[in-house]
Amino acid sequence: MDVLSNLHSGFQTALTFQNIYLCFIGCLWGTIVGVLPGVGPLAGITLLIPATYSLDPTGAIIMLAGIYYGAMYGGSTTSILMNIPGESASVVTCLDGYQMTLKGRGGAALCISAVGSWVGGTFAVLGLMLLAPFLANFAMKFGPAEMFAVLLIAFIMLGSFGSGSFFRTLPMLCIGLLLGTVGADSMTGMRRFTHGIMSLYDGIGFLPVAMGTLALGEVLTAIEESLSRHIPKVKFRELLPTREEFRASVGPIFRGTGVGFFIGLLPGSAHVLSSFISYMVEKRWAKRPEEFGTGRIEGVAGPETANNAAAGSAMVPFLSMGIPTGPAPAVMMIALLIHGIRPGPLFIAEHPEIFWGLVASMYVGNVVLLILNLPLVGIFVNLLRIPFRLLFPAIILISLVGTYSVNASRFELLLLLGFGVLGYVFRKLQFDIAPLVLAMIIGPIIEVHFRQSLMSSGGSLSIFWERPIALVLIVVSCLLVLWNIYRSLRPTQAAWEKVLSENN
Amino acid sequence: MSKDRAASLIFLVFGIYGFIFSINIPMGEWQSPGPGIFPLGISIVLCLSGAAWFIANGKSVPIETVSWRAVGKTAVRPLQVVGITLIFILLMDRTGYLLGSSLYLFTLLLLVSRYRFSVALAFAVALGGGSWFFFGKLLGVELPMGPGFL
Repeated sequence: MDVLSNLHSGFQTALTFQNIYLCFIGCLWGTIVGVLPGVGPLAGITLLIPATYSLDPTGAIIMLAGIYYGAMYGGSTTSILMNIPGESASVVTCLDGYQMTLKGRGGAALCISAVGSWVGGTFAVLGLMLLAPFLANFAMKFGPAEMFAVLLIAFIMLGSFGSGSFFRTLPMLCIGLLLGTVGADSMTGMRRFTHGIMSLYDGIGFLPVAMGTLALGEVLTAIEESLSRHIPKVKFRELLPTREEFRASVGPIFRGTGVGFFIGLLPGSAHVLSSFISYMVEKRWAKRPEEFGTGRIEGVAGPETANNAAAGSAMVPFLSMGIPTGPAPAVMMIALLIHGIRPGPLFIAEHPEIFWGLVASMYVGNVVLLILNLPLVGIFVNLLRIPFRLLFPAIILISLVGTYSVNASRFELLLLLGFGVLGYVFRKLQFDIAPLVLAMIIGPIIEVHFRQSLMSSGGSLSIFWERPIALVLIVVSCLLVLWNIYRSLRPTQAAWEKVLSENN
Repeated sequence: MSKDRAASLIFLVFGIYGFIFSINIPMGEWQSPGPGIFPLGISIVLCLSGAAWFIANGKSVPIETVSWRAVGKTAVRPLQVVGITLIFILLMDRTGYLLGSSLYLFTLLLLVSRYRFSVALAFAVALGGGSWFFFGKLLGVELPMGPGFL
């Protein structure tokens, strides 16, 4: 009953004129950034952070969340119609989606993708609503040792299940952690790495780092490429799937929901990983797996459902424990921190109107997105006609003015530019930059919990194995590290083949 | 040089920087850990990680190498953007936002995007003026004022 009454009050918050409007703007902007190659959901969210300053925190998070799950809807459009993934989670959709377009079934693929996204997104909100308060209540019993262990395992999982290998993600995490230590120490007030620069006394701002590495870095990489493209036309009547296509999609949509929701709870690039795993599940489940890649509707329905379900469930650890499991929740956390609100175990109890307002708005947003992405898909496709050479100066200008608007600091603009270059360089070197931003946000929290644990135990490390929850989490963390070491040391198939060919 | 080896040098630079500047920060004791212990630990892991990447990618044949000539060709536009943006940031307080942003956009559209003079000017004025109105007037962001009303 508690859940229903809370949801009722959530709908009262979400259904005010202002919040419906913000939800619509978020979903619309999310679909646009999802459709446009070169502008991902991260850049989309960071670019709209400045627009939230004048809003209340509930409105701000409703709009930013709308961009996140909206981008998952929009990302499939270019994958299906043009073989260009609008964002990384839609890469796998290209395989069968584009083949369907070549066969004249692109409209049906778009329709099934939108319906699957709606089912996945709606079930994920249901899971968020039921699981997050339970998890937050559980986490309230945690002391510093347990919180440290939770954050430690989150870091290791981020490395293990992220877009790169563990040892590829580790240095990026370390750089992020190191950047998080710049400024006055929160426990002693002592300054670290400030070199007498007053602007660094409060630490490096999250926004210049996020805007620089994620938005500016993405743009700098994208302007290297020529973006001339052919855009097929989609007619409304072509959107209807045949009965066989619809029947074949039901199973993948529900399996994709389960896979996506579970993967979304784990730290890492959950929405990307979930679509790949869902595709593999469908291929294994199929009677004729060899037909995958030639235009099977199951190859579109499963992954597109999964990435939306993952986007919803990624909110569970973020809102209930204050652990952003991916870069997009991390950027949303920055927005909440700017409004003076810190997600964590006390968040739902202290700010029920924000949490339940967000949950209710996600139900509304998923319906808005279904409407936006079915009949209006042709309009979004036309957005691709805006040349990127006109779009990118506007994106950079919004990044600059958005960062400037927080503290009116020219120093932060220089930081933004510096981190933009760093983001560009790491992209060119094929290292994922998102873990750096995540680590920078979580770093100060993990440091405080580590030091508080040692202080409360009188300097004894035994606190980490005397408390059962901390012990379990640390043992799992150690096992994960060992698994990663084994994974990186074991000979690959190519190495075996080389040895065998040499012996022969 | 392989891409991974180039990345390892960046890791080493960050790690060595962190190590050098964190050893002077008080470490405290186990009962009361000081502010230096965490950055020192991270710097050591980063140095080890950078060194491991450097060594591991030294002996094997690189799968993908950094071709500096190719980098020079493809990085021209990003470098132009970074340079023009740097000038805009440094001069923004003097020119004011409205004039500065319009000039900045005009330069980008003309030099990087290769639009014709008149087209670049029209887009720059529209985008610069539009962003000034949106952020400065609608959202109430305090933007730098330049000469006169600009």
